Amino acid sequence: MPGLRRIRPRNIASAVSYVALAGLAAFLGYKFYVWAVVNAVWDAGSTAQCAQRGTGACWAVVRERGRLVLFGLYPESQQWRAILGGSIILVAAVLSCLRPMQRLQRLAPLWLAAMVSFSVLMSGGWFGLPTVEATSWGGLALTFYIFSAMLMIGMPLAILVALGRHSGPQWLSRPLGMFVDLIRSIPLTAILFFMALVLPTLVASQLLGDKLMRVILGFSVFFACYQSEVIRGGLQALDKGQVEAGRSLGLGRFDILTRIVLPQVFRMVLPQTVNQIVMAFKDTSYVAIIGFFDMTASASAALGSGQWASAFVEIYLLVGVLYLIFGYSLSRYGGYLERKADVAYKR
Amino acid sequence: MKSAAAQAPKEHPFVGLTLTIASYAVPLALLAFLFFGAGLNFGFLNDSTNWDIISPPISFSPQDPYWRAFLVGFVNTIVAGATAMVFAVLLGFSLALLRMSGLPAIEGGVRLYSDVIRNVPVILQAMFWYAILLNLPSAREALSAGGAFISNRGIYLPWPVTPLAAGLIGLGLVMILVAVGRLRSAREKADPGRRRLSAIVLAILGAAAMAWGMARLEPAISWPVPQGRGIRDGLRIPVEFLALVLALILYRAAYIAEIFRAGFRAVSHGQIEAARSLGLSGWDTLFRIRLPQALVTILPPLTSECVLMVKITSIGILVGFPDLYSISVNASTMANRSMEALLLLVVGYLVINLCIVAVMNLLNRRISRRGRR
Repeated sequence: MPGLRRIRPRNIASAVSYVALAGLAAFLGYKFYVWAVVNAVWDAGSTAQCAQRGTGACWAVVRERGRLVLFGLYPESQQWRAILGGSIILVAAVLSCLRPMQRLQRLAPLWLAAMVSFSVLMSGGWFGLPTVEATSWGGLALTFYIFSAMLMIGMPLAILVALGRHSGPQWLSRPLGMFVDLIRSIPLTAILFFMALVLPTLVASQLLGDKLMRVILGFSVFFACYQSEVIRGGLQALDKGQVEAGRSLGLGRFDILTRIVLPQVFRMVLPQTVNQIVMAFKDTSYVAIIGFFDMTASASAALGSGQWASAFVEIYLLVGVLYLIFGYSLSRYGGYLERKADVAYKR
Repeated sequence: MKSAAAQAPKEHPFVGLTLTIASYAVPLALLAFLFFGAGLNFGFLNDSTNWDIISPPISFSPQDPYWRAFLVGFVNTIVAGATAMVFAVLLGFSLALLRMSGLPAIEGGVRLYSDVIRNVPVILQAMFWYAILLNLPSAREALSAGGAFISNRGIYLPWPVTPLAAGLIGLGLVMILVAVGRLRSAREKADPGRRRLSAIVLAILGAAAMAWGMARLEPAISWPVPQGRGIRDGLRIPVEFLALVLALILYRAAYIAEIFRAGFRAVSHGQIEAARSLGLSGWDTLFRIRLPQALVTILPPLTSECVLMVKITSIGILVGFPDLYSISVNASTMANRSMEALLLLVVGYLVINLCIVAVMNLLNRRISRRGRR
């Protein structure tokens, strides 16, 4: 039988691995299904009650505490504002992924508008909205806020630092280089520590913004130091002839920069930039260390009260899946850009 | 640098010198301001802390001074980072091999793992593992296997009564084995005399280490024993450390696997075919042909991974692990000396990172030299 000859060890191993993994997946999937659906409890007042009513997942905790994870301590009656604000940021993020939007003169106003409307919505005080202090912002809404504010401040800063290091005079480029290297060799926690705890001892309190603003500034500087290296790589890779061509056309320095250099550099480093942005999104969870109630900290806060303490798997699963949705779609987008860049490069 | 100087318009040499001095002076002036202008005072380091640190590798009591607390944090950061790095490299290497196994089902499984693990913040992962470990049975109902115990306070392992002596004997043994290996291969090398000499010196040192260890060894092992509400003796690895290190290993291994994969891809396929036509087994091809050549590509990004790993240990504070960051925060609030604590923190990380980079560069130079021969 000629067909049998085609069965090689490789094919057998492949088949065995398929069967084994499918079996494992089916087994785990079944276990998970029984835990999460069949034996799950949807309605209870505490984990003790959950345990009485069923042996599976205690989804009641999500019903009771899910609000905390999504919106932190934001007043319940004003919750629609947090939902709307979060949606604005999401829409802005999705729009930024579209090709025609990827120009500085479109991205900058888009994000400025998104951030301003988000801040106005969340803090209130205008249009008859009751004021909500930034200290009670939390959950996913706070994560979004820190994330987008970090990019808003960090990205222009990164461009400036990269330009200063690449084409600035030596008295500027060398200290900048030292600063970037210093920041890159200490953990993010150290920078947040400086912003939250040390800065108030150095500077008069009138000059300080609120703690959240300072922490966001710290995040932005950290992001800018890493992103500036990415941009600098692009600047170094850019053909010198581009600048010279611009000069021979009689363009000014500013025009050469904004019309010739930066657009090409950004196209070049877009995949790495998206990687940096994915990292920045995950890094927002570091505010939990400084004592803010972002999505990560809210998760443990939701468990803090004794009655839900043993439902940690359910809560962490919820938060993990939320991070996964945003993080995974961003990294898929990054992978797509990378493949496209590869194709363009090979052509 | 040279070409830039050649192209630059001619200017007075004094101007260039001034600018060079200025480029160093600005950061130096900033540092000087921080040191003298901000009224730094490190005197608190000699005061006793009055707080306790749970289960450090070096002993600590509330009467001990602050500098000792910082030392504990420094050592903890190194131990956690090094442990996590070693296991993450092993796991990452295995994941890379699985990812290149040519079996679509397994490759898909590994990709799923890395997609999930890479897109969830490591802080959340550490908190999750910590919660899991805290929900293990208590010491009274600890799970036991082969003399080791696992409870919600940590893992208790059988451990030599005199670990230093046991370590010395192990080190001596390794040194002697290496020396024997070098002695046997010396004949094939260009400078057999020098190699033999160095091998003999190594063997003597190894024998000395073994002898020293033997003299101090108590040939006994301390077995963990359940007693009352706890477990005594043995080596206790606390849950805080476990949660942190487990999260770091699983998280970074997904990235390290990519580094290994890229390194293996950079080795030309002709090398593998040549190895196979010489009759080398798959295992030999991997460890003698592919890995050594891939290392040239792998080492530089692996250096950044090491540095990154040490930096991420600073999330330990969220699972109650007393690392350098956690100690600094404690010290800054208790002694009200935040600037000083921050400087110690930064200097501590800089020292660790510079050491890593120095060691890895040394390795890198040796490996790339081997490649050129």
